[in-house]
Amino acid sequence: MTSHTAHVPGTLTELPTRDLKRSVTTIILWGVLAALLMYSWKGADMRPMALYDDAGNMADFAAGFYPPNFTEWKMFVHEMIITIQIAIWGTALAIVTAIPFGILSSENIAPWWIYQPVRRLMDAARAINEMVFAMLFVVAVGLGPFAGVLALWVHTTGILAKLFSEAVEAIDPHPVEGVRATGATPLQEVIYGVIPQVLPLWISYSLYRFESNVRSATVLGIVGAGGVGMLLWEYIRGFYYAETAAVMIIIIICVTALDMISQRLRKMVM
Amino acid sequence: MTNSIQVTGLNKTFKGTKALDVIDFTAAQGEMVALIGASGSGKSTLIRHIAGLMAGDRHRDNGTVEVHGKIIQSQGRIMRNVRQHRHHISVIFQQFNLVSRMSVMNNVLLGKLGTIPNWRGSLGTFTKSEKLEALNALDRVGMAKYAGQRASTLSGGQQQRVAIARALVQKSDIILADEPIASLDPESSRKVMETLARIHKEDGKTVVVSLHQVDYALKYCPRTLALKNGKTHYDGPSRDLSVEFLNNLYGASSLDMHIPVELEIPDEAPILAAPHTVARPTPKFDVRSEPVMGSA
Repeated sequence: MTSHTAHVPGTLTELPTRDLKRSVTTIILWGVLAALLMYSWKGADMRPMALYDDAGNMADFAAGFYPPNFTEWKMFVHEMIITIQIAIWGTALAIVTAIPFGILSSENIAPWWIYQPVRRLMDAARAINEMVFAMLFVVAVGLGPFAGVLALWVHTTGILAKLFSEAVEAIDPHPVEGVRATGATPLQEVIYGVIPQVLPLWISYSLYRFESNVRSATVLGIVGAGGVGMLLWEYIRGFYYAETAAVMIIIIICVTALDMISQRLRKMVM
Repeated sequence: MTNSIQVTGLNKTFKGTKALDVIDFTAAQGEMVALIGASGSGKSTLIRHIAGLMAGDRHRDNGTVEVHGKIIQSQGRIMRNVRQHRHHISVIFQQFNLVSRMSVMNNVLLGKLGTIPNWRGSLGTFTKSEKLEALNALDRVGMAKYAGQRASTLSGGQQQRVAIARALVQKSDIILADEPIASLDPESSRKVMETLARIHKEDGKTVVVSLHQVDYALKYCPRTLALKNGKTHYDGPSRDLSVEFLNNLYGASSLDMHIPVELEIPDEAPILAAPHTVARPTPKFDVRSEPVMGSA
């Protein structure tokens, strides 16, 4: 027993001293952030005054959007549906390929000489934007929605594989061991020990990627990969702002509706 | 006759600490053995080695684990064909290790994976007789009426009984239970231990069960193997265990031991061990911790 001078609880008069090291770190971090912003000012061609000086031009430009011209609405809706169909197929194919790639890039399932190369491959699929893939696939398979599907497939596989493997790495290892102890094969360990645990998360991630893919698919048409983006591009280049506004409104309505439905579904599975 | 389980000179080191220190252990077919010892004494480690879920130290002099005369591991290497032997050994875990999002029935059917063709196991197509077998195993542990429920909806004790049913469906001769009741309440613990003892008796299975609670070991297991710091400390009839021996086994610092009440003789209750606490009566729960402070 050590002999402390008697202390009556509840009678403290001094605040604990602030940790100097932590305060200094905070100041440095803010300094670095400020320096980064200043460094990037010139490269990003930041001209805030232009917003004020050209306000008149912008008002004229904005006025061109009103009223939106819906005379061709049937065609707009038709193209929007194609856009959604591109997203559906792109996401579906990506889910199918992301399952094996996701499992193979999980540290707790595969040895390093498998998960390292698979991860790098998925990094590559993620690093290149779907627009770039779309341009490449337009050359390969020709203009049209199929090029868009392939572009979404490759890029989304990279994203979903990473998300899937993060879910796999966070599983509870106990059920896997329970399955292993019955004499199951490694594949059966994954089927019964891993998949049931990660399934709700996987479904949630897949729905979320579907939402994003609908948004991405709306611009794929710009490079000729089908969908409503093609219309948008033609109208903007031809200064048909009333039609542009109509197409944009249809996109907003569809994307919002799908987001809401998918959010509901995601809440249901979790 | 070959022994059901034979462990010879097994060693395991975790980061420089000996978890198993030249362990020898044999169990004849149909024995029920309790494995006792303080936390970290090597009970779970030994069970996991027998089950082939963990390999001993990679060492040429390291010993072997044999089950029914078949080598599970030797010199720190688990045999390549261990998967074929695993279904001869059922393991019951402290955390039940059920797949919580699957039904009770399907969890029990997993016990069949080691004996049916791989493709059928992978696709989950079980025959009617296999399903009936699973249902009857559930019936034996009193869980048949929960067959369609998700495992996660059951209490801990119920989950453990489902795990026992999974072990039964494996049709193994050996059940290894790694602290099966450590996270259960007393009533569930009693049920689980009784189920294990009944299966041992009715089916003549070899049961090795590691326990924290010495009273359960005495009640259900004729033989006890006590481990201390990875060494065999005692191996013999459970009835010969004495209070002094158990105190020595767990050390005075252990607060988690459960020595049977009828054995607990408070001959050295050190209520007055620390003079400065004389002024007020020492709370009951402090009794065991006092000698630790006094000796420091």
